[in-house]
Amino acid sequence: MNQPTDNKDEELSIEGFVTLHLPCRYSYLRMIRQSVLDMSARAGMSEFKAAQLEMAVDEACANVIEHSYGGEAATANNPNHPGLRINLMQCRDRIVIEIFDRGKGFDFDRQGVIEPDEYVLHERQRGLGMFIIQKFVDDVSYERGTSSGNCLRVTKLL
Amino acid sequence: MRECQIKHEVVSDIDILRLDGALDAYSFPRLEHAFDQLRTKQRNRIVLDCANLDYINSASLGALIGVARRVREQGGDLKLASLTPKIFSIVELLGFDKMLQIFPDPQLAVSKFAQGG
Amino acid sequence: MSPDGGGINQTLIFIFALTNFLLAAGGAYMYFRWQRQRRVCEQLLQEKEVIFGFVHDVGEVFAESEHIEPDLLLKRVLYYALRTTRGSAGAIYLGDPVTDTLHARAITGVFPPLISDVEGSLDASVSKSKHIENLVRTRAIRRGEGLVGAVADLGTPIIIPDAECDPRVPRHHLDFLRIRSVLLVPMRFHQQITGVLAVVNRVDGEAFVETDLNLLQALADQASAAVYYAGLRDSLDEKKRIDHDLSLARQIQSTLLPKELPRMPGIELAAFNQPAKEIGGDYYDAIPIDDRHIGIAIADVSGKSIGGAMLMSICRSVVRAQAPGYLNPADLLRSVNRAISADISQDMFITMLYMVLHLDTRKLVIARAGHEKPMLVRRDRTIELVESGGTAIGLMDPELFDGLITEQTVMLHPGDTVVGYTDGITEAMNNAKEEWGMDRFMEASSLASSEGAGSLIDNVRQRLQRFVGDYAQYDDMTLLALHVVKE
Repeated sequence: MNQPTDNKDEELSIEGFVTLHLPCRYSYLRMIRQSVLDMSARAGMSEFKAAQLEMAVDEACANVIEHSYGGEAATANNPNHPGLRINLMQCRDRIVIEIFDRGKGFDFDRQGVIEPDEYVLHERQRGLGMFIIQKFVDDVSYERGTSSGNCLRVTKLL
Repeated sequence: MRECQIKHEVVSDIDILRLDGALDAYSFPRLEHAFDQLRTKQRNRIVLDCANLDYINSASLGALIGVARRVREQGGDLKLASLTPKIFSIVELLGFDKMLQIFPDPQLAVSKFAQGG
Repeated sequence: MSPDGGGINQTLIFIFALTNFLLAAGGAYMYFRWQRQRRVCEQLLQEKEVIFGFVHDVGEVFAESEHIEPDLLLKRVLYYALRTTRGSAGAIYLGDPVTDTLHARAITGVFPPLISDVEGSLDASVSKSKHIENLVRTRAIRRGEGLVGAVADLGTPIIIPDAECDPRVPRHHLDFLRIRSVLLVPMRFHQQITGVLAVVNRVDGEAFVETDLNLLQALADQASAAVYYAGLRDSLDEKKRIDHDLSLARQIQSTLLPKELPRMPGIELAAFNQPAKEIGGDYYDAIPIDDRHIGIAIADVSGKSIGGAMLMSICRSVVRAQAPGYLNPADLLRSVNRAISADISQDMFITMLYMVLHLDTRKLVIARAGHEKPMLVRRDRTIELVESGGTAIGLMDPELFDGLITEQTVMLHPGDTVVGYTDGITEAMNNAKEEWGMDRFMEASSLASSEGAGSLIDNVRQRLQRFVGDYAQYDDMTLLALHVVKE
């Protein structure tokens, strides 16, 4: 996994910026994925990498809904629920996507990461999502309790 | 990307599921339900036609592997057909192309069953 | 200290520094060479793996294509084309001889039109794939028009690694139609261009390379005959379909023999191939290795009809791809065995004779993977069979194969001839169920040898034909003669 430099402010010469505010519903994942793909195409990212980024973001959002918000059922009847906020940023050499939630957060580092080889040997087919989120992008970080809520941030180089 | 539709067709003792659209956290229950139905009826020879599948998430991939393992124990198999280059690249990246048989179209998958494979 | 001490010291220091510099420079040079070799190695390894997968894939496509609708066959060909080149979209254009235009008959992925004048119909608000696909399908392409027309017209493949800078490639304003890299290869059947296979945009964003083009062409070569016949077959009635299927194997295999053998100063090369009706798969080939060496192959595959003929074409492609990397024929055979043996089914194998000739010294190095021993006919008409060890390809584990194969070197002189052949020659039978046999073959070869390669071939054929009479040919016959011209 590459480690792009962490000079966030200097490196992020943002050429395109999109924000989505979505309900905390799995049915909206589709819209998030489509936005990721569109942003990737706009930035000239290869189809292969765009597919990886799409998957990482989809898995991340699904994880946030499940672990930070306790699943979509838990928020079903709350019209004022903060939902998810997604920032998609196109930079000169990368795409950065931030996923904000105002849930209880989850223990990012303790989520079991399973390698695919191991994965197929185990009875319970869970945990592959975390592996994908980490391996399919060049950088991933999770910050809890910022002023905008918890922030899961993924970066993929073009 | 559309809602995921799963169409079911039977060719002798082989079940062909045509997956249309995306398999994500939202449509995953639909996939699980389809597999549960096949399990209840003890159908062990399954072909997934993925020509119109434009996305598949980890839980669905996991379900495929799980079902494949289960039906292989019963002497059957789950085979994939018509993967688009994009989906194939993901499957290959995760190494799942070594675990599941992949064919260019469902007909070849069906005939592989007929050959006893 | 003598007065010269200082001078000697300086010289010593100078020599010391110079030596260090040379060592460092040498070291750097060696390091860069090593790095380059590693890269080349990795690339060769990757190419090998791609060929490996390719062999497996294509074998399956055509093994099943005996009773198939043309559209499905095209889809399959495209699927493998995309898998092996790692393209993200592709199309197969077939020609209509009546109107002399080409139409896209199969499309996979979001395939951008390769013609520039569709801009008007492209609209960002339009839902992507179906509309684009429609546009591509309905646009008739004239001979010579655009990239596809050019390939169909000239019959030469086109690789555009960096399409964004190439004026031949249309630039569409929609970003999902961006064309980054293109490959186009002609599909040929019996000297005629029947269509074009096109692939765009490698999935990993890299540019297409020569290997991708070669693989695509190899796939197209094999697909062309099958596609042509699948199209024809549709219109045949049941009775004729059986004959059609049998001749398909032969047709596929016969389109892949060299059109012409290379000419070399002082060396004559001639060959003869006669496929039997049903059993498939002999071939021969002459491959330039570098400007001083040529590789000559003759091979025989066991295995029935289409499967055998297909395997033979694959073998030919693999040998062609690998030959320039090996001056030692045994190493080439080891490499080919490794590349394809895992994919040959249990009941099939390939025997091969591979020889490398140095054009100046006329040194001939021979290796034999279970194939018939080549005949060496000297100027004075004495004959010997050249012995060397080795077992057939696809028969056993690579480790065992590697250990068994050996080489034999012979020096050729003016007037000498080397003859390679397949067992269809020696085992040819007449009505009395007698085999022609090695003795008669050797006699025929020895008598004609001094007249040159072509004459030897003709002579052997005539004698064989006289012996066999009208008894039906059972096995493919291949004969190849290499003659050093007398001064």
